[in-house]
Amino acid sequence: MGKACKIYDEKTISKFIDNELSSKNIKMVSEHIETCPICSSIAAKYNHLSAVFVQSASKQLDIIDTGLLGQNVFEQIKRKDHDFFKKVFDYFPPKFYLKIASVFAIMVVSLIYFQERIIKPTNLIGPSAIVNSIDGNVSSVMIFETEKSKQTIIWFSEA
Amino acid sequence: MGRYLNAIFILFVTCWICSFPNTAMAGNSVRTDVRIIHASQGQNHIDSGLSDLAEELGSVFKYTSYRLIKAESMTLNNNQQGIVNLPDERSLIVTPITISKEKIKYQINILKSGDQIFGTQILLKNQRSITIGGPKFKDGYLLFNISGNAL
Repeated sequence: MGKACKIYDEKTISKFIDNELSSKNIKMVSEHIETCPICSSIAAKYNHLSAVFVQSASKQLDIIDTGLLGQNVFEQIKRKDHDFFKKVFDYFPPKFYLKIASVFAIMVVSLIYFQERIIKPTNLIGPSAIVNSIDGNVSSVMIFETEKSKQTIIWFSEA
Repeated sequence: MGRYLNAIFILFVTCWICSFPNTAMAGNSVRTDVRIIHASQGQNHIDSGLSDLAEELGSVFKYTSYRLIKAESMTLNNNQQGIVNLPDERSLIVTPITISKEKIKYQINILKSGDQIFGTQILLKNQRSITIGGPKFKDGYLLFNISGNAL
């Protein structure tokens, strides 16, 4: 696109026709078009193109009922969702599902709280006994624990 | 139908909660089981009453024969002495000093002809056991397996 005249180019005129200029510029360009034959003819050309497009688009829109189209699309979506949930959740009353969910929640909380006692009771972890004191007429004492069950063993030799 | 459903629901939840380990406080008595074992290098032998112990002891001791000489079960209160007579004029005295749901404090004394030859104070975990040895006996040694179960 070249310059329409020394002041405004075709791009500016096109924007003016499409109402894409600021209000201040619209006023300036509008005043210029009234006095400039070159800009005036370019503006007329763009106006004509615009009118043809609008007319053509309107004709197509008249053929398509967009309201009905949108309605059909929404109904199809609704039907798909509704069918799936209908099969699963309408079988029992909602209160039943609420109870099931409550029981499940209680079970999960209980399992989390008691998991260590269920999986491994605390008293099975570590040695079976702690030796606080030893005395007696002995020459030696050994304390050890078995590998598997960590049972404490005290072995003494009599003096 | 709704009422039955509610009742079943409440019953199920109650049973579920009650099925978990009982965390109530232990009482003032403890069931103490004592097993007197003769361990030796003789012919391979494990008494049926020692099947739970044999593997564990075998991992630590080199003995091949484990015979159960005596087994006693006593219910002892706090500071109550439990006496087990042993061969060769020996005796084992087990006294629970404190009893809780987690641990039992025992005073264990081994006497020979009335004189103390060995004494120990231990903190035994509830439902666990300890093994003490080894006075010489015949061609082997004596082992004392003591287990406690707080009631």
